[in-house]
Amino acid sequence: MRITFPYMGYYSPVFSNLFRKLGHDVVPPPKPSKRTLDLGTKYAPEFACLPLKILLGTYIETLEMGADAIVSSGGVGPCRAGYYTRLQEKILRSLGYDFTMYTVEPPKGHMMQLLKTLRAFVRVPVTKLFDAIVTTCLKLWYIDEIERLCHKIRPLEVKKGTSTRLMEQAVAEIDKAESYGDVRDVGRAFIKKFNEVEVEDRDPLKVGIIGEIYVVLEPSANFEVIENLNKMGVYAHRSIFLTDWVKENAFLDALRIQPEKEIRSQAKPYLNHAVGGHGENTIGETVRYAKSGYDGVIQLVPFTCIPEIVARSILPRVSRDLGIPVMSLILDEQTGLAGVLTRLEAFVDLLARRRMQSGELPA
Amino acid sequence: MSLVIGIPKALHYYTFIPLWERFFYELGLKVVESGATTKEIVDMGVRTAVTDACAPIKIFQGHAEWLAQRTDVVFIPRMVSFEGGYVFCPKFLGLPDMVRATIDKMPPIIDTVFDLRKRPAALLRSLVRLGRSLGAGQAKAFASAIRAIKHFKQAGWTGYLRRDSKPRPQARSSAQVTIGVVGYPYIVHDPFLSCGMVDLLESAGARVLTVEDVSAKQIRSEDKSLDKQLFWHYSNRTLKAAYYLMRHNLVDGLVHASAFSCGPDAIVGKILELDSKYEFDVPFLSVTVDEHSGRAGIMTRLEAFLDMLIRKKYAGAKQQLPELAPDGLVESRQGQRRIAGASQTALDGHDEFESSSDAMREQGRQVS
Repeated sequence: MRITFPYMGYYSPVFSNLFRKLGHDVVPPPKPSKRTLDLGTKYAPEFACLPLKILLGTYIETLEMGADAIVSSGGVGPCRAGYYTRLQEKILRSLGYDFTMYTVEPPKGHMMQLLKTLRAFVRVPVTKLFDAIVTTCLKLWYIDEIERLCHKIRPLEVKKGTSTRLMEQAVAEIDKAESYGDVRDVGRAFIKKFNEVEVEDRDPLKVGIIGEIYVVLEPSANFEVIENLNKMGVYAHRSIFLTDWVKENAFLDALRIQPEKEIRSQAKPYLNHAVGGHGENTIGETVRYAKSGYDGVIQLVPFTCIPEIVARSILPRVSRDLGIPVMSLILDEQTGLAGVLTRLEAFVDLLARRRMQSGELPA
Repeated sequence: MSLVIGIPKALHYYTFIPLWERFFYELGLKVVESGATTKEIVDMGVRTAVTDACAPIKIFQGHAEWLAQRTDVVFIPRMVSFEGGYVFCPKFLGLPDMVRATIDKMPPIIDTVFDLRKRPAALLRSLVRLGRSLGAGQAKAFASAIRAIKHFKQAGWTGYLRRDSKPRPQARSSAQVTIGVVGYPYIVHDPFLSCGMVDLLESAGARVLTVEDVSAKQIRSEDKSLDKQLFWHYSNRTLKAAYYLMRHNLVDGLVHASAFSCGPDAIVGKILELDSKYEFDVPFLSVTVDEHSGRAGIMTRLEAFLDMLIRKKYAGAKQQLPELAPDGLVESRQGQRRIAGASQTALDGHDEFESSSDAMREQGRQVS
């Protein structure tokens, strides 16, 4: 079985490694390119959201490279993402590809299905499996930690490009590390290195990044919004990290603990019901960013994303009530880098001016 | 009580209006409906709704704003789940909040939650709570709710459809082309949004079946054809009704009426497109409408589709045709043969074919 899976930022090599450890051949998905999106757009329904198109394009590319099994996540709705794998399977079969589709459903309500999927996968003894999973989790955790640091330090670094280079090195090194101890050592070493990067002493503009999980997590789907903001000297705080999300949605949810309660209560005055995806979080996080003194919020919306459209209808009211500028970036196959950059620059200008008017001098 | 309650004539109105109407009537409250969708209402909705919302949502906002100036409260229930554990589209879940956030000067909104996922009795409970919040006593609210639910059951439950248009011929004649027009009731049965699709097809001589013509039992019988059920109430109904119509050979062609940028329809539409082709071999047409749709454009596409179906149907039934009809059809058969023979060379026979298909359509009308 030659396994492939969706491409997702810095996490991809870690997943490749995990599947290898479970005893499979892996076809690592290539970074989404123009061709990926073109392929996806060609065969996906017109009004499917951007993530579906990118994933479909990725699958076509990897199937061409010889993969014969696809692993992806499922879901229970009402967000469309939970039905992706069924639709993609149908489309790919109609194109004549032969493969097996494994959908990893969330544990809540689908425990048996999840175990069945896992059984089809695991070809190593349980002890080894346990070791592989723990090491992978630690790797993901360190990658998230280091990326968080990178977002904080990059806007302030004196020598431009240092943090990006460090980040890439860190991911490569963490990926190479084999045992639990190695991962921890490498992780700690890089956190130390990051803290030693020479930075300017100023208070940068702070922007919160919210929106649909895939376009928030995958830089090539959002035109490297965070890196571009960092390059303009702006600190961008990403509201979603994979480890947090998996923790909250897979493990705690199965145990009936609801860690997102706080976000829900923040969203409540504006949106009083879950709408699937990250719709409720988008509202709640915006309220939270406003209350913790952020200068602005950028919402990343794949065109036609249902939960984000609900959120986008409500955001202007939140923005008005709490006095925090919000910009929605709608992403689809027609969006161009130059347009995104122009809008980011204009938004950052606006934030800087607001800060200037409030008395503090921006950097 | 002299409270005037406004009910927007959009989205879930098309299914649930007997329930709401009867309930408020039993409580002795005055209900105002927003009436048919007009250009004015659409314009209002387009002004307030976000640009990338789908047309039905924009139209709903228009209806809500129209009511805002005329009623004391507007009834926008939060429809979460009604049957089968399926939820409604996320836009339905956030509907009251969206309206509240985007329309200024909105009167109070009644946003009772209807979530029947955990227990069916939740419908009764929600209604009783709604009645009490409107000032009725427990006993009266309870009695009204029971009567409303009974009335809704008689009216057809979730398969209910308000037939504003003339009753449709139900008998099937073999000479007539039957077309399944599937889509959400708030698209197919809103004559403004769908550009009168159903009427257009019927006046062209076709017999039309919609999702509401398929019974709940028949829809349920298609549950097994999906290994993972769709999440959404209306999408499940639409997809399964379409499956039923195709599987039992009830239609000659299928039209999927969908709204621009509709999220669930991106999935339903693609599944229908693939399955109608590979599994059922039924001609399929997808028509996307939005607030800018022109009647002429829709009409052209539907006519072309209908012509194609007529051609296909009579090409397959050459033997029976002469018995069925006198002159017109025999002539049309000749025209057809000529086209079939000359298909690689040129469009010589084109004109004759045009007129003959017209004749066929005329024929279809007479038979009906």
